[in-house]
Amino acid sequence: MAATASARSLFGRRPRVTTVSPRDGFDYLSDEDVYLDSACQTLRPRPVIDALIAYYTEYGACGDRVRYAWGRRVETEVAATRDRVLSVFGLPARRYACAFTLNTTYGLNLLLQQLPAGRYARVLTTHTEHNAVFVSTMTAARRQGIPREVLDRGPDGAVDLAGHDLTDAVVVVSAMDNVTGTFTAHLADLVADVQRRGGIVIIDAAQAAPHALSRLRGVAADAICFSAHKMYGPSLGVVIATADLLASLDASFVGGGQVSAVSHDEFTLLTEPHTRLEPGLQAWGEIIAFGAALDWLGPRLAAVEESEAHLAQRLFDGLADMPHLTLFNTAPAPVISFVPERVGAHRLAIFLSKAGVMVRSGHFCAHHWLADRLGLDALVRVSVGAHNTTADVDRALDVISRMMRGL
Amino acid sequence: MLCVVAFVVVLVLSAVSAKYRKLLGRAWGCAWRKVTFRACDTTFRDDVKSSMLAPLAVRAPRLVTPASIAIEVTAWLMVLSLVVSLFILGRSGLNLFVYGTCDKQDAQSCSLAAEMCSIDAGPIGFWESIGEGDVLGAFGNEFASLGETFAAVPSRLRDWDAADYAAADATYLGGYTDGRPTALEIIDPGCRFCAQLFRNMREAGFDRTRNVTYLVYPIVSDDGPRFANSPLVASYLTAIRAYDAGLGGPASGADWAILEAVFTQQNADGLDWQIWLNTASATEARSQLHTWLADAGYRPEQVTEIAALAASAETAQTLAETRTVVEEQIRTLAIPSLVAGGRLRSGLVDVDTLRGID
Repeated sequence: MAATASARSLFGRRPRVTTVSPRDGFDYLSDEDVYLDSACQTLRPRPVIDALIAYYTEYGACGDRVRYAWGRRVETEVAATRDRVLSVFGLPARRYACAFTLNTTYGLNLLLQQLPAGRYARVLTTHTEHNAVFVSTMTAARRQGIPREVLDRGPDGAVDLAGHDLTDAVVVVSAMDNVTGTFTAHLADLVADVQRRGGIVIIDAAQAAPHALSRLRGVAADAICFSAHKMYGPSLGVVIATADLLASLDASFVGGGQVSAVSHDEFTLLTEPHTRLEPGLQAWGEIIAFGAALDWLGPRLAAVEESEAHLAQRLFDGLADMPHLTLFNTAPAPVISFVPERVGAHRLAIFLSKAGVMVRSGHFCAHHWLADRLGLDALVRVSVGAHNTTADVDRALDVISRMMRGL
Repeated sequence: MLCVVAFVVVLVLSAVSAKYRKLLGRAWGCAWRKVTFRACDTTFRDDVKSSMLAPLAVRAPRLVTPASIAIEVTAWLMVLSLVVSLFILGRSGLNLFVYGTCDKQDAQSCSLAAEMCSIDAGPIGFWESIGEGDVLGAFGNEFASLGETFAAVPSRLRDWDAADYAAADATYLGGYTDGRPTALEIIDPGCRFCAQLFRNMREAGFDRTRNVTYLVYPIVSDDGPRFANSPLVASYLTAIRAYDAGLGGPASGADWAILEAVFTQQNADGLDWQIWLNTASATEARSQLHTWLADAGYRPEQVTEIAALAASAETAQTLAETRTVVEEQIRTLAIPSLVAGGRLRSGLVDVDTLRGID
């Protein structure tokens, strides 16, 4: 019931709740293939693929200030997607704008590398961030000439702010890490604390957006970056940011689609806030198809979250019972990592692939946390998505179990 | 070692299919690190090995570890085999360039070499030494032999002049003609390829454009002469030249007449004289040589004197000196060899080549 209510509030005006039947929207998948790498990229449901094909085959024109019919249609649908994104995240259009980029990393960098000089006193992040955050905060701090501080997190993912000055800080943190799927506890409090001290909070929601949207909704961060391709959409980055933050950026990546007038040595930027992050032509088809992804996900969100929770618990319990394997997670989550003890992670991933089970191996772009700080060799990560079924998980557990016992 | 093997395999596959060429770059990077004693690109190495083991991991995970060890051992053996093969290939190529044969120990066995009667050179071969348990000796001999071959490289690159190696009392096929360049053949009267070379020279008219002379070199091994009567014939050829030189007049040409008979003529039974000589007893061979000397115009007492000279220490000394020239100056392993046109040619030279020599 709680999940249903949550879905209703997310997609408020037309409450339409759909239960997820096995392979709902993913009828093209073979039962032989068990894809467990949704943390990297989710598979796309049929309506998303159809929307993208429709754009390419029916009205594949440019958006932005065109006068012909196809272009007008593109413009309308892109604008609708922007509105849908803000709606899904429960953020008001009067304060926030939605811009599209290449991916989460690109969005974070566009923000961090264009922060106004002298405005901020420090950059704060945490040890468990993936490279998109961890590395971009390094270069941003260097560019600004301000200190960068790396904070610890508690077992619940809460950021330990003790001893750190939040005054005029740029805080960049993930809402859910991409190794254990731990959601950052007290995220809204963190945002409020930082903003109260004149700082800003930029949230990396690459994992939280697809797996914990209901918990992320309404968190009034200054910016939220995530990837449509981790959220059942096409390859696309999304940035939700306050109009104030976007307006304050020191525009460095500029060109077509961003200016209203240009003289010999000067230019005038457009007033629409999202244009600050959208130099040049955009991926119109992908943006429109992401709108279709949100339409598909909306009525299913509660069911998807419920299904993921069920699959995560099953995976966690099954892996916990296996020999020669150390779970890195302390609790079930849609993203679970483990260290195989008698075989390398990459090798195990290749072996599993041969058995039709696709998992990720490596340090998952969290090199500082896993390799540098904890000194771990490569890990194996399994992550579930809307397309997964109990049969998928059981088959994966069966194959992993046989290999853990036999290798 | 696996990435070295993988590189070789990918290299071969790349030669026939473009789709492997991107992989070739990764394979080369990994192999290069390995041969320069650095850690291999583990991603590539593990990818290759894991892909090989994956089918087994799915069906019988317990067999993966022994299979992994087997792959490593096999890879080591393949690399070792590759290194040895490359060494043999390089050594054979060098031998072919320097000596005209890829196998110094058994020149005749090299299929890339010209047709020849081989002079077995040097100590026993590598595997024979290994077979005798002399591992150090095997490697020592191998590298000593290789050193000799390297040392001989400059001599193969220089401009050869046949006159430098001709005997002091040299005779010439058809007589000496002023203005013609000299050609020198190194022959064993019992070797069938020397007979063929003689016939080729005649057919090519080589003897009409060159002053063709010879060094007679009966091939000898630990078991004695390769052709039973070659030393006897060689001593008579040497004695004839010395006898004629002692008379102070022009060469009789009897030595060439004997060589022509041996290389081109048959006895009354239709058997080549060369084949007959190789199977005849020394007495029979000596008698036939005397017949040929008589046919060449020598009186009986002169034949007797030549026979005595052939058996003399003086002739033995001359033959020994010739042997030294062949083995230490010319350094050929092939009979016949021909010094002509500024080059040393090992083995039988065909008619067209003889016609093309400047």
